[in-house]
Amino acid sequence: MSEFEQQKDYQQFHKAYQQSANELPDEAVDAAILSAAHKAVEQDNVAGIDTQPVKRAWYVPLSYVAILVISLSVVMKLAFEPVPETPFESEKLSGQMSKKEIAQGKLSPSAKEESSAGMSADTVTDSVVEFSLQQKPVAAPSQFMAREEKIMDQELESRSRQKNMMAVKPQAEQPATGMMSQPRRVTSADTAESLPAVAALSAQTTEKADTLVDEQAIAIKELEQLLENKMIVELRNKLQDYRKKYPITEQPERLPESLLQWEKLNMPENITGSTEKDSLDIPLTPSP
Amino acid sequence: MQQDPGKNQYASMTDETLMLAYADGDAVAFDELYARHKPGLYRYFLRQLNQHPELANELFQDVWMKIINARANYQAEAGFSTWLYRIAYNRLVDYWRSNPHKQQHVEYDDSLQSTGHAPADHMQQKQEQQYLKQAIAALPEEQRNAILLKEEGALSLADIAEITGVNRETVKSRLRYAMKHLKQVLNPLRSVT
Repeated sequence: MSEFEQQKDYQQFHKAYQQSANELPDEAVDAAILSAAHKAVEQDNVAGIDTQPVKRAWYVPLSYVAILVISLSVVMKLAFEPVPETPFESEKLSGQMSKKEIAQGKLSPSAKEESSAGMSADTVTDSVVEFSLQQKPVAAPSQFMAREEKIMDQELESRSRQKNMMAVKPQAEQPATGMMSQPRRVTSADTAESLPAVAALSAQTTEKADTLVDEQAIAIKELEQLLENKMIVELRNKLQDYRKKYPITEQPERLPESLLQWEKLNMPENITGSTEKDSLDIPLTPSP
Repeated sequence: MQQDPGKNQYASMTDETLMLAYADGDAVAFDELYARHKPGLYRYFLRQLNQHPELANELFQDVWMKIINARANYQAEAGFSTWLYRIAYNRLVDYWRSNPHKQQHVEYDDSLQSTGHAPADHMQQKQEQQYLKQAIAALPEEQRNAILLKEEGALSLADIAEITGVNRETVKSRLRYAMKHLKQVLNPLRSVT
């Protein structure tokens, strides 16, 4: 009982009011309401209407959760899958072949197949690369070699992109077999398998070029030392050998200016290609 | 006199259980529920409408028809009395909005209580009841509404506050003012007797 109800005035009023409260609605109204109430229930029973609030079955929330989990897993898989940008990166990711293995010719069976039989779209580029490797090894300055490597990398990258596109296209054209079928995504392993021959050729080229550059540099260094020590006969012989290896017409000249001057004066046949012997009378260095 | 055992079963059930039973298709549950709340709800309308039985019957019937039609939506969390009188209060407000000219203030006639002689018991009681009804009708609308919801609906202050859309303290204040007015009517009658 509240504080208000405990008041003496209220209790007096309450008693008096309850004594006066004796009115009732019309019987006709009573009858109408009760008959309406019964009729409504009968109609429900006839129509079979369930008047209870709809209760959700247990499997409805479960299905929502399942859909959410599947969607999230698909999104995560697509978002975090590494896509290789270069063939060498793809090799690292796939872990199938190391660079050395490729250089040594240890190609995977699929790579060998592709290098021997396939790659019709890249036939021209392949032949260019092969031709460059079959050529007589030439010495080249480091800048030149760096540029050549860069061009080769770009070529390989563009080829890998072409390969990717070719790998995606035919799978997308395949008819769908079910709800879950979709064009297969090109993985790093695919790229690694599709380009091993190119990678091998590139590695070979790079390794050979490195060796050549080193040999040429050593030879030039040796020649410089001979010139410095004025060992004319040995210098002449060595320079003769050098020119056999690195002819002046086939590449940019790497010999330093002093050696070139000496060669011009003392061994003009190396430059002009003539066979006539130069006199040895020409002094090595101007006399003081 | 022998009582129907089925009726006894319903008599022990709460309002909420009866309403849920009716929503499930038990028409007898509604009979019990109606019997419990019929007098109070009818008198609530009768006092609010200045003792017009026809109008009170009309609004009373409207409210019960709403209860019948909304049986499927009833939830046991809400007390049945609160739900019933909220519908009744809203119906009354709608009526006054659509018929503003009928909401006239009733003045209490002081001459009725100053007769100066003690009538016979039954006459005096009847007269007292008449004065009380007239005093309630003369109350301001908010006070009358609060005192009738308290008396006819047997609702708590919180329930009245919820129905009328004010806070509990406001309801308490309205009830105090209402009692102050009614005391002025009741005390002179008692002093005479």
